Amino acid sequence: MSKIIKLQTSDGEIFDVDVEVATCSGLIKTMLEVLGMDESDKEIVSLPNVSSAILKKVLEWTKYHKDNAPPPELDEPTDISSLEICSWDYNFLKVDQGTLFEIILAANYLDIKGLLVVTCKTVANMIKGKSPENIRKTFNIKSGFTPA
Amino acid sequence: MQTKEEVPTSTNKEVTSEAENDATLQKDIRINARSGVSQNLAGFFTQYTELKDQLKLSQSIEDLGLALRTTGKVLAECISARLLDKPDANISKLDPSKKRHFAKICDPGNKALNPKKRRKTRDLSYEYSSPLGPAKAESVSTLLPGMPYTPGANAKNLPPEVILYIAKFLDVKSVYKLTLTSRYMNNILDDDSLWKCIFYREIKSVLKRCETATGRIPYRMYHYPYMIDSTRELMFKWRYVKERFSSQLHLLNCFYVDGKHSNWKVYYDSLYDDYEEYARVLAVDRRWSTLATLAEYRQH
Repeated sequence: MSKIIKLQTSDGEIFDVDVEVATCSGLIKTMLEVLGMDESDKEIVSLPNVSSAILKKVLEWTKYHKDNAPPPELDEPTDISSLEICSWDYNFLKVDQGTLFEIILAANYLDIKGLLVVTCKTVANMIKGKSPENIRKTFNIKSGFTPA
Repeated sequence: MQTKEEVPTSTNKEVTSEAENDATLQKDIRINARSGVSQNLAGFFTQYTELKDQLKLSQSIEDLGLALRTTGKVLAECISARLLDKPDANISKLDPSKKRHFAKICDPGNKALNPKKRRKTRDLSYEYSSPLGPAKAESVSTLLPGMPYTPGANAKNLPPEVILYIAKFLDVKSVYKLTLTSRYMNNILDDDSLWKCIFYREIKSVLKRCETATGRIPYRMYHYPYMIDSTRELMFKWRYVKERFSSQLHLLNCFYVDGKHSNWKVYYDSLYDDYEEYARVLAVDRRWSTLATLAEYRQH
């Protein structure tokens, strides 16, 4: 008997999501805690920063990982600083760079710690072992340094 | 490899079968060359012949499987192209699943048809399915193999806190390299929380190595390096570590925490005799960033 919450994305699409899944997001969890469940049952929660394609991906991830505990804080020197991610996540994140960045932004906005960690690890993996020039090429960064 | 006798014009069942026939294919190419679909198919054909050559050379089962799959696909493309040319061809006689298969090939943009399967064969179709010249990624090496390079994406699009968060997963060397990419990055990564995180991680790994070597690092140091509240204590242990293991700790042997405990910016000692490497390493310090740039430009 799980309740359903309605999420509206930036392009107007409305998703019906289990509360259990939705509360993986710190944003929605805090909102429900503060406002209570009864009112939000009828109302639609709008997420202006997330497009429907990205929310679909995020929900796919949260559905798969909803039973996993959120990872510990990074500021403490724990062993999660290793760059390994599980194979499901690896396949899940085989997307182009634009989508990957949008997922990161969505995870950051929705405050989904686990997803943020996994996506950031993916990007860190792309950076690791490259020369500055290669990093610039990969991420299309313009060099701000002036040649002397 | 199996070969079937022929592909008659009326039947299309060879789509699913993995056997193919040279002569038929060439006939296909010829037919389609007249009707203008040729370029595409010619490309497919060359790929097909290449694959065949590979097949002859390689005995491994994996290659065989791949070749069979791709040639089957090529054959399907040929036949579907011919079906497009001849609208009166009897698609209707096919059973539904095959019709679906055909529709998928004839209209690759149609995502409604079995999107799951499309995604599964993505790596393969990435090379084949785009008709207007394969949109192959540039030779930028990304870690994820299937990841195409999108020029629109820019690390600048990520907010600074996310970039910092990413940097917390990196080792010192990679962070330094990241700071060298641009002035913007350099400014973002000049952050106390990041360096604190890196420092604790590095010192912990070093202490761990020392402990496994000698067993002489106190329990408290090993498990709670972040609970050391006296910089002096830290410096003392660190000097010990430095003396004992200086040869192993190439990159780390000159870490120390600057002055007050709250300031976590990490500096390097002047142990580097390699000038360029030294400049690169010191790039975090603003005073040295021009030097680092100089060294980098000299490389190219």
